[in-house]
Amino acid sequence: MNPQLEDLACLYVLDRLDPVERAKIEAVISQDPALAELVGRLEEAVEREVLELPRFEAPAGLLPRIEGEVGNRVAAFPWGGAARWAAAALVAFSVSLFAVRSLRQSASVSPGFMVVGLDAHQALRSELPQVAGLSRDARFIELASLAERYWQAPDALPFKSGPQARPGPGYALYDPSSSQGFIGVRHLPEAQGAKRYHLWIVDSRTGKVQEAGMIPVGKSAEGLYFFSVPPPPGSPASTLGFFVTEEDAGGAAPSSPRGRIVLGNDTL
Amino acid sequence: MPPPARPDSVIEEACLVARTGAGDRAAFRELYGRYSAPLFSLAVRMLGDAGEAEEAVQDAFVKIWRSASSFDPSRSRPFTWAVTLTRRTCIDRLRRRGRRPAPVALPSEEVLPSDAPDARVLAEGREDGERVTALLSGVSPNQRGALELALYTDMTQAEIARQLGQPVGTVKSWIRRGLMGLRTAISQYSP
Repeated sequence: MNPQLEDLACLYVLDRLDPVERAKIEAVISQDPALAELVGRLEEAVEREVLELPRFEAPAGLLPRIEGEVGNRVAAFPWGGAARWAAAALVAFSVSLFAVRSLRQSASVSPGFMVVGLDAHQALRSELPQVAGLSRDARFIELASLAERYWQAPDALPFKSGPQARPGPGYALYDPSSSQGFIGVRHLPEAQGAKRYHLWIVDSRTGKVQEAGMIPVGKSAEGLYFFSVPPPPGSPASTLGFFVTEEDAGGAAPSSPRGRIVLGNDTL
Repeated sequence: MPPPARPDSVIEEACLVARTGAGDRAAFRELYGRYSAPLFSLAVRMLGDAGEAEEAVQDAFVKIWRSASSFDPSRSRPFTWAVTLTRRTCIDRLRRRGRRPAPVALPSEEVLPSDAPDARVLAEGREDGERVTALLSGVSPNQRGALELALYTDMTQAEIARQLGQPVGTVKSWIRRGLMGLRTAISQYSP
């Protein structure tokens, strides 16, 4: 590698580039695996330097003060309604980018994930192969990785539906053990007027349902979103499914679906 | 060439940052548990004042909380990202107060001759835990001094050059060679 590029890599790692220079080298890094590896190693070296400084413990009482300060700002980051989805979608994308690069080598799929294909009038469900021994964090990263893999390549979904056996307009990927999942939707028209789309988890054996959140489909008519919802009480993972309904906007989240089903079905 | 696999701790920390970005307080506390001591130590090193370092670390963790949702793990390691936020916070404070901590004392010797003991030789006979430290000392004093000024102060490269009485090009070279030397040392002894 030429010294000029090494110089730039060093300055980048030392945070001594202006924003324009940073953007330029980040573009190069994204296209140059050798440079990306060098930057990773240099970052490791800087980290080691910091870790070898004379060590001082942070004063007791600092964490509560920090939490007190960020607590006042939680309102600016509401974890509910549409914002919950949007924020988590960002997390999902950023985590998955990393996960695709880091975990794919070691694990194909984590245990117990389920994926439900959401077509206009039906739902197809598939359980994914199991890989034991992943921590909670690793499961989440694998879940996000898989969600994005299906988003980028719908043909990788473990089933086909719709005309000409093409993947349907949506899918839900869910980890029953953490109650976390992702839903990807395409070609869903923007909800009209006072209507909103809601995702539901259903026990197809008993018909019990639980609202999983509102899907903020905008003009783009597509998106990949995170959700967190526990299964209906007493429901085994093997009977779970998902569907999307169109509901009246306004007021509290509905406790049961009243509107028409627009994706999937409440039976499998 | 595929990107290098990252150790489990880096993956775990990327998850903690992601969960923090989603508003998970437990993940934030875990991150604090892992990072608070090294970041506080860094702030003490940069600011030279424990009270101000405490305020800087508080500011840095608030930034971590607020910007975790935009952290991009494909661009940097989580701890590097936290170090960068902390360094920027400390540098802002240094500039606001218009003074700097005592500069790093540099040895008077010139760059070590090229036949200086190889880093690997320096490490021989030491326990594993001491090897990296020994290796780091294999970086020449001038390279280390320039690197420390770049890492722990708000001085520009031109200011570092003036401080060291060297041309900017020489200082750039020292910083690069110092950092590359550390990288090589770590690469040789990483499992």
